[in-house]
Amino acid sequence: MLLRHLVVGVKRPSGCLTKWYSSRVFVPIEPAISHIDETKVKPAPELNQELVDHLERLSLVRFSNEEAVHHLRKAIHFANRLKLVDTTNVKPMESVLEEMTCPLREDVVNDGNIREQVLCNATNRVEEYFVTPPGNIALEQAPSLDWTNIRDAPDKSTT
Amino acid sequence: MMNICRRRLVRTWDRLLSRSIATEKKRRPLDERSGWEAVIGLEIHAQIASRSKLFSGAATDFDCSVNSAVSLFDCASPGTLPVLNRRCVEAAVAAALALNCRLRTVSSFDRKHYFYADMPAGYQITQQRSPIAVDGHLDFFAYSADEAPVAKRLRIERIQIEMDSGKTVHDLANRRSLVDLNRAGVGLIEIVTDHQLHTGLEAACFAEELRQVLVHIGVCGGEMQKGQLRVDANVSVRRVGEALGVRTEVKNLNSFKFIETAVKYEIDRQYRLLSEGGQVVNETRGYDDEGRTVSMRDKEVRQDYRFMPEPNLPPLRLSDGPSDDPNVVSISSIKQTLPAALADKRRWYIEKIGMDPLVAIYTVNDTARMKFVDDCFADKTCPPIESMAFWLDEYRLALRKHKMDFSTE
Repeated sequence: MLLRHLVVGVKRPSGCLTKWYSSRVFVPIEPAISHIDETKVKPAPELNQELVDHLERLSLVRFSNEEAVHHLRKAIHFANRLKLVDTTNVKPMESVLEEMTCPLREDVVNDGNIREQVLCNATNRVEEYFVTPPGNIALEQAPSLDWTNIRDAPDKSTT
Repeated sequence: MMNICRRRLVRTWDRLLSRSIATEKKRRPLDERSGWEAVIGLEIHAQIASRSKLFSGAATDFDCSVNSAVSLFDCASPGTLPVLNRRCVEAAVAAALALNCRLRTVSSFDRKHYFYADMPAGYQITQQRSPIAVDGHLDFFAYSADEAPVAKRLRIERIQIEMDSGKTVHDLANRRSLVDLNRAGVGLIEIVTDHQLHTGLEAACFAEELRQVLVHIGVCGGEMQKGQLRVDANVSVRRVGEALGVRTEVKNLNSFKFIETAVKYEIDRQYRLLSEGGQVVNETRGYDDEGRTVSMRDKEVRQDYRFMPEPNLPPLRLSDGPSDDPNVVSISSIKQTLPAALADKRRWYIEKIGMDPLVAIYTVNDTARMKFVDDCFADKTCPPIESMAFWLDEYRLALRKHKMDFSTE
């Protein structure tokens, strides 16, 4: 997605642009530093305990302390910069493979029968089964964070 | 004579399908009762009859010993990549054609994330944004032991290819679950219907017709007790003419009888709630042995599947005409291999042969029986069409005595 947007939308030094069009290279040959107007970047939203709990449950990643949540806000702020790129009428590129055709294989059995390998990392097994706790256990709620500490932290990332 | 045959056939059916015979009053649809109506849509998962899995070369024979039909990809070992099974694509194309869908020459795969012990990667590969086929329909008959067949048509919203999860055995006594990954990665086609059904009976009859079609074209084994065909029903109730009500999803219905009774139970439950001024909670429900639906607390947590394009699979391409690229499946050549559609066959029996509609439906509902009847017509000693039902039933009973079925020569 990024590469195509760079070509279409972002303004950069003119010398750099001509070089691109003549050679049809889509990745800049020289570093092209774009200047971002930080005042136009949408600030990261306020996070609260409920949202952090939800994100932790979805990602199974624990934001163990206030610093981690601060980093998350910085990451959101950084991502928000991308929204300044004008993508009108640009079809998003999902993958560099999108011009290719999905390779197909014939329907033959040529794998499996490697139970020992499959089970070798299991910490707990009964007969040939993996053993897990019953049901689906949602991630337990972590102790609440010190939210005043996070809100007071500086918002801008240092690049 | 005809009437006796017919009654007898209906009895046969009743035994065959073991459907509960409800009284007229119970059967009456909601809207006649009170100005309310039920709105039902189905999601059907059909296991593709293939030798190997959707993205790996492990066998699909998950009756074999536990965790032996598992490749390193199926247990989500790092560094493994999916390679799509051509047979599964062909099966999805065949199903799409049989269900009158519009096939899309380019479709793509996505990851649907959730954490469950029988899903080792933490995501399922499916076709969320760009399914292989959309916008079809299937004609079916809604009928029961005491209701004459009514022809119906249900629109099919989409067909998508996706992978199955593993199997969890709940060992309640020891407070643990046992996971077998033999089924993990088996190819499925998910068929999503429009929400145009109104009764449990309609839902069951549609599912049955769909099963027949998929078995007929060889896409799915269709054995519901083995989980080869699983049905989820989205049910909501509203006042006629009003916006759709809050829906619940009744999961993993694995027999036609359960589809009918569980959907009916869920409609009645929602109707009672709403008519008393209560509210329906949007939730997933299972069902017990008597077809009562019960809330599944397990999955009550807010779901966010975080769909993203599957980065390891380029777009899947089909061609309308012949194709010389081994990676491009030709729609026209699959079309040529399809047998005559069941609906056409039935129409032929009714219109050309003069068969009673009930008998025609009964005949078509079993591939072996249909072949037997066709052989009878080809033979000059065929019994007259008027007594076909009688003879079919007699013959079926005789066969059963000798523990044989219609497939026997």
